[in-house]
Amino acid sequence: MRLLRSLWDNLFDYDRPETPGEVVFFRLFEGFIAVFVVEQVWRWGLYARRLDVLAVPHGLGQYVDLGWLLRHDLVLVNAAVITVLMGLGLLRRSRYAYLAAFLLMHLQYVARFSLGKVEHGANLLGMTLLGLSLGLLLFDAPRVQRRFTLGFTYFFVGLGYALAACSKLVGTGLHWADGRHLWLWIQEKSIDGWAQTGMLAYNALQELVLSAPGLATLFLALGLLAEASAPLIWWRRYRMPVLLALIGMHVGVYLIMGIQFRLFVLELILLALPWAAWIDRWIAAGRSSVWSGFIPRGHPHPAEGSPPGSSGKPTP
Amino acid sequence: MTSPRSRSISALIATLCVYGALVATHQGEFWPFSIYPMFSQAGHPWSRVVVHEVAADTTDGSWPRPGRPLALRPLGVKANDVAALTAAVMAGDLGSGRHLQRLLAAPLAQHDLLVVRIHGRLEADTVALIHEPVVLLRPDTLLRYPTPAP
Repeated sequence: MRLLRSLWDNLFDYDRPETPGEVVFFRLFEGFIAVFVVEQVWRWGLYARRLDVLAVPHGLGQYVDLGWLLRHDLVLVNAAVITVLMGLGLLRRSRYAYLAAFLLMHLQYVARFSLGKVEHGANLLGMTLLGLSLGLLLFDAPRVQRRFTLGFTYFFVGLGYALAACSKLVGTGLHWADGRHLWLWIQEKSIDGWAQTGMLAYNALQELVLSAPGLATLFLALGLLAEASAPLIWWRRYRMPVLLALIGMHVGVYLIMGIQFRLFVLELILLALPWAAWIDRWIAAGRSSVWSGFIPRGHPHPAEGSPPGSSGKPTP
Repeated sequence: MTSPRSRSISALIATLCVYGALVATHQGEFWPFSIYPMFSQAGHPWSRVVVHEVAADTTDGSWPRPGRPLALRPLGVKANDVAALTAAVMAGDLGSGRHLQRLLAAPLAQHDLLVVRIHGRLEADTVALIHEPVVLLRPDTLLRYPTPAP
């Protein structure tokens, strides 16, 4: 019970007062999600309009015929509707806008990835959008909406990586980390690189790993360890080091296997680093006019110090 | 009236249950939920594809040989999709062949294309790569190995 209580306290953190920096950070984080949701749905739409049938439908496409999305450029119409909905959500014009955008984004994903292979690059973005949707639907207080969305996101980041580690251990076992497996993947991804660019080439790190099985094993073991430790981010004190380890893992995956999880890494950077504290410090240093529009009424300005009688922190 | 904390916990647990039910019944994938199964099967052989322009017309009845590799990125086509469609064509799905022709329509207007499958597998302490031409694409025709030579 104590563990669970500590988990919920660390995830949602409702008892801790919110600083202006946290408010500003959240709006920037939300803006990041909105911008990349819009970018993804247009990218998917422009690709899907070249297709004429959902060859291997998945998601809701397994239950409802979504082939109509590929006719008359409806994937582009869908992208435009999602763009408008994200704007409405961002401007708080509708509590339902994000949820509607989330559902339509699922359809857009189905339309794009219906050829037999799915990609995971936008999964974290989708989970965060779901967290934003639920936050707006379930709570009235903006402070609670923000805390819920971040807690929800931390939870599913931790869970997702832990499931990835479990999949490896269940699918292969502890010898998953055998360095020769990495050799196979390096070759596989190099062939993909050849198909994409017309050139077959290995970088210096790949050459090194291909010649040193011990090093390859070490890299795989570290990656597996980083994924398995991801649930620790549910607790504040471990959040930054574990998220930085996950970012390091993605950088390694990119350098060694050429697989780029751009959106994952960008979002993890936002979640890992103490942006809110930096913004608070920046505001307190007197360069605050830019941010004042983001700070809701009632929040003390960090430069003004704490109200008399308070514990020295800004009030909620 | 429930507190934000208990409402948050309920929402999280409800989402978790939906997540669990959907990935358990959809082979680990139901966007944006996933158990991220990629790379879970380590050490298994794989097959990928590279598209080549056809070197030159042959007149002796043999299959054309692969010429210059075709870069898919400038065409905005993903290698993953070409690999998935080629696998479907090899399994007898001609509809996927039409998809392939449509995705590669621009280069097909210039050259015939040969899809070469590359199989990789671990052999002792090396990775063995085997190249196997599988599909010849023309704007209006698709020929599968081991179909008799065109």
